[in-house]
Amino acid sequence: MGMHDQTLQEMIEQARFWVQEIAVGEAYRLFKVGGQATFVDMREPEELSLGYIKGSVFIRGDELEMQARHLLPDKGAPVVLYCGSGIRSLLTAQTLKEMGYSDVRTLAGGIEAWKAAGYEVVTNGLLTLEQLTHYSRQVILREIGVEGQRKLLDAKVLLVGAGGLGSPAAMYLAASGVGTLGIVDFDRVDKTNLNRQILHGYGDVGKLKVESAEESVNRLNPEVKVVTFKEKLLPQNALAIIREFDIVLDGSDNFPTKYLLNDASFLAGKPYIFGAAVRFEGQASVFYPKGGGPCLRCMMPTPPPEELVPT
Amino acid sequence: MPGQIGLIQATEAIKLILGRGVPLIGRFLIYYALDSDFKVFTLKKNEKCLLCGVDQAITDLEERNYRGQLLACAA
Repeated sequence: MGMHDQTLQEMIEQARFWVQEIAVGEAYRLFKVGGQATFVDMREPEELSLGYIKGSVFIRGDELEMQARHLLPDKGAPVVLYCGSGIRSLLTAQTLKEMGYSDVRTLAGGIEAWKAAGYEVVTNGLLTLEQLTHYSRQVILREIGVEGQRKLLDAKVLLVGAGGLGSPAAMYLAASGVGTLGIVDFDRVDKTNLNRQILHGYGDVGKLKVESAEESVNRLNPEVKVVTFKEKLLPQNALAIIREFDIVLDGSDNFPTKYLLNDASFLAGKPYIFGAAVRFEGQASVFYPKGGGPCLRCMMPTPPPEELVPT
Repeated sequence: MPGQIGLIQATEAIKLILGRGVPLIGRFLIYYALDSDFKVFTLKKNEKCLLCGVDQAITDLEERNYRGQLLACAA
């Protein structure tokens, strides 16, 4: 590791000797006058969704020689390379010079510095610039992207129980930007809950769990809309509550509620994400007959007798 | 234990929202913390299921289907 760092550091220093690094202000001046320099974005395709400089051409590092010949035919014309933070473009700029390009510059600090300075970038408009930054570490994942993040922000997940299962689920769903979280819980925070119900802290003892849960969620991510239901889930209200959401996440601790969630989710056509934890064992599944799977009653037709259920 | 399971549930929710990956539909996961072991069992649809089977017996939410007191509280 040390050897590798050393080598990279040496490569960077060497590149800095041969290539001119320019600050964002200077890059903006070249951009503003237009046609004076070609801006080249060196990032991977999934990074481009975070925004790019208008008019840029896109060249991937591993296709440099082929694409440069095509996109940068004039080896004497000025070129400004940029990437995310300025390292990749610096190293690539040196390669371009070695290929015979005479006027190669690289943007110090990359697109991040450009955006931080308040200069405009092109996005597809699905997310705000603030959201692109906030969720950038997951937006760059191929499986998520800007489109996936938009889906998360538009999604509505119902958490039944703000306890041991519901706490971590709520916090991670909130942090990742699931736009609407419904939380059903009639209970108040007890000191004995605090060892595992991490939505609630020592100072929350005695508070309604839905209130303390809403505070924790919005402290992590104020963008999340929290809908609280300070009531027991009952046959009389279950369908009306569940219909307002896309997915039901089970944080309950008893079989009657689990069977009610199973039935109500089925009748409403929503996926039911089952979870249970007793002592040192945990269980999880997704019951979604509409999606081709079984339901909880396929496994156990009726709730087990109460005297057999551990607490 | 509830921490790990709650996060698996959250991950399943995110997968369903994104339409990515293979969700735990038709599978049942058990985490044995003391053995540091995960096991995943395949679940089959029961054609005679009272709820989602061919002769659906449960068509609405009636109190008698959920014996005992209903509590939506903390695990």
